[in-house]
Amino acid sequence: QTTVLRFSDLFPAAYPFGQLSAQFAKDVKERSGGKVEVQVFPSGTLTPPPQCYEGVLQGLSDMCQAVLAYTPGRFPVMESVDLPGYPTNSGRLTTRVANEIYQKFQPKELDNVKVLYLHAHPPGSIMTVDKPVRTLDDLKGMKIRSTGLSARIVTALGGSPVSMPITQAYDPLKRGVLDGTDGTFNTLKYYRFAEVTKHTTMATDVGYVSTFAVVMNKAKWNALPPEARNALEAVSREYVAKAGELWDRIEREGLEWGREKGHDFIKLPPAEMERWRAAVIEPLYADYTQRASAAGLPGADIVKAKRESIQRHAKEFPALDVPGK
Amino acid sequence: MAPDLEGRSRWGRALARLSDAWLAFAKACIAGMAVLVTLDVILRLVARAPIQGAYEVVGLLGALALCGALPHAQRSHAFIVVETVTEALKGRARALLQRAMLALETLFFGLLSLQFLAATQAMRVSRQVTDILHLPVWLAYAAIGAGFLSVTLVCAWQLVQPLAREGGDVR
Amino acid sequence: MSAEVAGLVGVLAALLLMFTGANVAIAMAAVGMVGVSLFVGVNVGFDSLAPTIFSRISNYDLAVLPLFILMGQLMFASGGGERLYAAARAWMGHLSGGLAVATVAACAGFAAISGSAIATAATIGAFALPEMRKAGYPMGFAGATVAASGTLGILIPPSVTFIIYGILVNESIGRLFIAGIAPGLLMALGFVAVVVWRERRRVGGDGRPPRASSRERLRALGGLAEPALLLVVVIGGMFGGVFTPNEAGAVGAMSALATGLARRALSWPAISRALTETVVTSAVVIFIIAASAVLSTFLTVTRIPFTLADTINGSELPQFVVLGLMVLGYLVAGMVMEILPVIIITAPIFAPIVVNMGYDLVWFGVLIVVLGQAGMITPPVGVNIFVVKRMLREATLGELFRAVWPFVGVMGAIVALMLAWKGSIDFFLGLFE
Ligand code: NA
Ligand code: NA
Repeated sequence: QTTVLRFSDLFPAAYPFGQLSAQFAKDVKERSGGKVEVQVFPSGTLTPPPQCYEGVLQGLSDMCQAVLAYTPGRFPVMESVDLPGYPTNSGRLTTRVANEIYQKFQPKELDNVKVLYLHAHPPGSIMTVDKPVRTLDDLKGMKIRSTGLSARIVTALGGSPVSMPITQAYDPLKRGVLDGTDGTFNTLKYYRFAEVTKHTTMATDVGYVSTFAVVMNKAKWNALPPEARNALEAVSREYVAKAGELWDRIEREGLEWGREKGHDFIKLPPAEMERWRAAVIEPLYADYTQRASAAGLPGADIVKAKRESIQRHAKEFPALDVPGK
Repeated sequence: MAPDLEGRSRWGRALARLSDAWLAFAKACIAGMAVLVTLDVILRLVARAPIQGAYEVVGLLGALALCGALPHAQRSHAFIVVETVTEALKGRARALLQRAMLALETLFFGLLSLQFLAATQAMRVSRQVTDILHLPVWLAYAAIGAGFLSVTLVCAWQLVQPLAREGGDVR
Repeated sequence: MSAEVAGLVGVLAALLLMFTGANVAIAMAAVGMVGVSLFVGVNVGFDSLAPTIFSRISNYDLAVLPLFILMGQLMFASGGGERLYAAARAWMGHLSGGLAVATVAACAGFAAISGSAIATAATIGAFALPEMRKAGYPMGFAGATVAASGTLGILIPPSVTFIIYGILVNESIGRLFIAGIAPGLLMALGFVAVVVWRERRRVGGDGRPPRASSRERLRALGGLAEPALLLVVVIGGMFGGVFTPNEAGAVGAMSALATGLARRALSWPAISRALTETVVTSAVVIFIIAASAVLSTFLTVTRIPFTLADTINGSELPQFVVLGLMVLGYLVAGMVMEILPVIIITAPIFAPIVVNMGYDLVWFGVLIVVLGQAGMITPPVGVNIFVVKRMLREATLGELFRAVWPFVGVMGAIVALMLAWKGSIDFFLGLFE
């Protein structure tokens, strides 16, 4: 008989990652020979984003796509993936690093669930309304929408963080409550930020990352027949790559969209970029290492492993650039 | 109307004091929230340096204010109730129906407090904290559980009161 | 039992509990919990209660909602409502139906600094009703004027109902606020037309206060200083990009506190009472929203919202029939019960259907708020009528409800306009954007 799995997805159905979830459901059904049917509940309709992960633990949903950073403190090992310091802005790179950290440390924090696949969005940049940001000094005091880790980055850069969900940023950008927002390039198109901002400072070297986890309730997983589990695992393995590629595809779309709208993309000269990196990277890693160690985790090893993973793959996944005309 | 919590019973007086204390706490939360948000706006404009973590603290203050106001809301019969049917009934039938609903409310508030206290433990184990200030989330769960427990006590007290002589209304 | 049938049974059970006099919030949460327990698993129903409720009550957008109530409460406590009414009276009192016209105007003015319909009716009613009584107005009509005009509190921004709707359907609260201004003013004009027409029909028109002298008028204008200041700070700051709509309540409350203290019109006990009113009122509302999330979770699990949307999208029903049925549903529900819980449960279910028909969610938000206003004054359950009744001994509930229909007619006209003209929302937004 068929097992129905309720999948709580935080992405709206129309967003490319919402469509990817729908595709995932289709693939699972086909590959399991109809034994497993994934029922997607988009836009957090079943469990809102902050309750997404808890919902799987409790069995309200059978699986979910959660942003690990929405429940800070719960995933101290995986948190390291989100820290800035990626030399290229590829979502395939961040996704690869997330999976390698998970494989290497097999963190206890995810033991309560079955991890199906992990991916991570590429590092974000800073988009500004009127004032172009070409140097660190330009950013001083500018009101930039940012939350959590990204707010700490904005603070470290001398900006003035304003907390609000990225989905609410459009109106304040338009009205001038915000001078800018952080965000990945795809937001230029998919959150219509190109309409309300004129400049993007390509500061992905210090951009925050968010790790996404598609996880399943453990009891539900254990209750599945072996063939169904195999099918789910096989499909999930493919979706690591698919998710990474999708991030890069929509980032390119965002860049292309911005270029068409006459958006001004600012590249920082290497010396200036070095100032930005100095302001952000080491302090954040030091803070992370200290907190992880305090929690009894090998903080320094995790950071080292992450940096090695980046080095191994940076060449493989080169930076995305504004497409030429 | 049920008799208020004051009066001769020691339990009633104690509960009145408890609900007053919660109410004062809830009012302080709302006042604090107004000050915090306004200061955040002003500092952002003037000093270009907003208050770190104001956003998450406002959310917590909102949750705490809610659970702090609930005992008083129950005590002063402020909850929204559709009275179309109860008002059409008379005498004993009406009193019984009201009492049954009060029993349901007592039961449910009791369940909520137990669930929040259980979730407090789960939150402690999960080590979940707030975004910027890293405040432990379980503290908020514990406070909310205590708030619901107080509402439960107020409800239970109203439930065990003898039927008031005139009409027997418990609301 | 199929999922959809289970969900339907759940909704009926919640309604039944509500009508037998249970706390509305608990009726919803209890049914939702039992539903999830039966449908997903007993422990799931119980264990998910706390996180479901916590994720709603710790939401920033909802957390700041009390501040929009506090702002109006503080303005009321410092006599702002009284002065607002005095000014409207000085300028319009001598006209035919002038005191009622002044009531409508004062309510519209107070609506711009208060997020709540009940608070607006109670604040202006406290001064308008005695004046109209003295002038010999039929009190059923006077009370209906206050009750109906008070509902402008949720249409003219800021508005607690728009905030709640915006959270539920994930729509910009700023856009909703802007969209409420034009229909709010239009409705106020419609109410003015109603009261003038009523007063002209009434024999005589005696008992009108004499025309105020120019000096009195100017002095009354002075009383408008704080409400006007507050309006400029709150509405101006919000739309001028100084702060977000979410932050407007806090800034407004602090401004009302500052002006009240400066005028020496606010004592500590008055501030304390305002805070008590604020926390209790908002706790009741927020608890309903949190509790409704438990019921919504159950309905979502049964996939009723999706099935309903698919059925309607796949059906051959013309749009006006679907929308007409929704409107009719809100009108009927608004008559027999408190409308806010109805909005809270249905808005997220109807939103995708409305979007699929090519309508803007802001359009639907304004429509729902106007229908909600109607629900607050239609018999047999009309909160704003109840609020007024408490301040009025001479009119029976029946008289109040009978006198309210012309005002409901104005609301109906606005609903009809919006239904007939899809682009109305762009027009409303365009006026103030
Ligand atoms: Na208002
Ligand atoms: Na009604």
